[in-house]
Amino acid sequence: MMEFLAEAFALALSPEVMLFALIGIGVGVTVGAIPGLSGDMAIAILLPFVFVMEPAAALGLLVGIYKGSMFGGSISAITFGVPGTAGAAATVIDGYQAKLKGQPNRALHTALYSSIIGDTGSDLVLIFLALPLAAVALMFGPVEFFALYVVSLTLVAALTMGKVARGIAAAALGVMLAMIGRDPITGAQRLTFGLPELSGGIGLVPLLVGVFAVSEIIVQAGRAWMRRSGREMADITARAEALGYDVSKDRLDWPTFRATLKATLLGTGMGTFIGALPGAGASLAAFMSYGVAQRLSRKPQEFGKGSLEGVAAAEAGNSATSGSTFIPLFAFGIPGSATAALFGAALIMMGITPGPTMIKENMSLIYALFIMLIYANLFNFCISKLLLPVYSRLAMIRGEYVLPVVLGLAILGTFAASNSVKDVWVLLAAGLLGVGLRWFGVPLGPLVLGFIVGPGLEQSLRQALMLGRNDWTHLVQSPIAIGIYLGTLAILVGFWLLTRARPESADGAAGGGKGAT
Amino acid sequence: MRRFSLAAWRYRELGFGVLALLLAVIGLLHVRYGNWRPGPGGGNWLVPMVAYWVLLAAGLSILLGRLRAAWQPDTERLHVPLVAVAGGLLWGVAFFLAVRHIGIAVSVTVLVGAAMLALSPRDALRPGLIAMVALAAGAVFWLLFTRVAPILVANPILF
Repeated sequence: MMEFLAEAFALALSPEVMLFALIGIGVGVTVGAIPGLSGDMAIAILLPFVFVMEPAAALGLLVGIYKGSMFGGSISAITFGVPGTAGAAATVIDGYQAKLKGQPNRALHTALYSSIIGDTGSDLVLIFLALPLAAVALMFGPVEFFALYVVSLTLVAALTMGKVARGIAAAALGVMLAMIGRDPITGAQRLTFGLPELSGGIGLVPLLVGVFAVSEIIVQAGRAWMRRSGREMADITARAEALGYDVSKDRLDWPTFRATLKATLLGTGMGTFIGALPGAGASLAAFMSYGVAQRLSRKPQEFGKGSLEGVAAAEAGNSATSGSTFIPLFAFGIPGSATAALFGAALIMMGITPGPTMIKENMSLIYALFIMLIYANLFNFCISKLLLPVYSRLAMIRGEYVLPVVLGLAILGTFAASNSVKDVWVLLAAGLLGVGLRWFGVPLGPLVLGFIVGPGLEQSLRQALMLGRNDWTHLVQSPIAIGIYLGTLAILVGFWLLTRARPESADGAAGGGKGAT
Repeated sequence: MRRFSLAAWRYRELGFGVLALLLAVIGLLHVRYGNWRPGPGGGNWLVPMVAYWVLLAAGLSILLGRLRAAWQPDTERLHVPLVAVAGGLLWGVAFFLAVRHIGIAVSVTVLVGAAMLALSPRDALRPGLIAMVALAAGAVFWLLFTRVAPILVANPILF
């Protein structure tokens, strides 16, 4: 064990890996701060480069981007009232009000500190929980894995805020897309419609990059196109210039921050728990943390009016999903979120299969990743603290300069990953599919998770049926599987009760935040 | 105008419900009458069939829910002009073909620059800045895709 730890420290603390983590944080904060771009998009576009990088360096870069973007989203949320990422939507509610009250620096620093605390807490839970859970998962057979897959897809769809039926439809579409190609058991072709190019199935990278990045670029380009004529410049730049920003106006002192600590810790707990559930996501974690913190606050009436407690709860809740979202991936091989799916894809490209045996088989690399998760928080803290005034200007970068470059990078990056022309056409088709689904208001997360989980779901279901001689009741005869189903039911009922009992003001605030996205 | 916009969104949701239903029914017919090879563990049509049934249920739920519920404005209406969708995709195709036949640096500089010009607000056009960003992008792409992660490009005309 000590040998693995020494190797892990040597890997994680090598200058190359630390440099890539730093670069990743810089890139992550930048894309997080620019509305329309996100950490997921940056990770998706950089996936093809994982092929040509050392695994530890690639993980350092991706971890840096992820962590940076979690905080980056709050910069534009507080400074300009526009959330840089979906997870920062709840931060807008009080963050922007605090800015209008003349406390931008306090709000930004509260967001930074609570984000780092939430993130670190969540990472520690991942580090201490992933290994025992993976050990438990080693006892799982096809029936138990099938239960886990069903539960993940159910949670993904059910926890999609306000769009349950559309989430379920998206997950089913994702599973169907994953079925294209060869049957994993007999090798027979299916759903290829006579196209030999489809016999190998749809690639993960072009689908992920297309659905997440290309569709977002097209949507943002559409917005830029609509406002290019006339003087409709009610965008970030104009608002930023009109509002101005002076970081020296106010400072966050210890008593003020101490008053937000309870909200930060609540957000950390809520975010860590919600992040570990498949499909729940940072946005839900942030809004639920915000709602619970308001309910337990001594000054609930200040929420929505620039309360630093509100900023702290939302940011801690948002960032606390970042570590725990990897728990299902590392322990069971099931990605619980779009980001985890992207990291899962990166691991697969490195030749590492996510699942219960992953940690045991790649002990030093996974422990190096754990170390990176922790020191990336420290890097993020130091860099963000130093560069906060500069960061707030990042949101002023105009989309029209960034979007064509990002689209070009997505196209050539996808081609570089496999040198397959087919993948480029799949990428563009996936982009079109992503735009169509966004237009219909269908969430993209369940589609991608369905696509990733689909093959495992099929394998476990068919193996379980073979073991049970085609008896479907075999699927509910395992005590562990029954426990998984009942646990999920309890979680769903708990969420339903929590959401139902949400105070009016928080609902309104949530709606506002969402609207601002 | 507002009424039209709200109605359009409502139809959008109904439209997705209908699309989901159609896809599910076609899929189930394909499972029933298509050329599927038998296999162990329920056959290779089992999971596609389950997915189609789930899609059918979701489509029905969307349709019934939208038809039954009183209208509630949705804050997440998304407007994407068709010209942006077509333009974005065509740009992507043109970009990829240009890179393969003309060369990375030239294609990136010209096409990225053209896209920036097309998307920039007319009252805040900065051709000098666009030229600089496009040239820098050309140089970075050339480095990335010829040195860091080389792509297979057969004898492009330029570089």
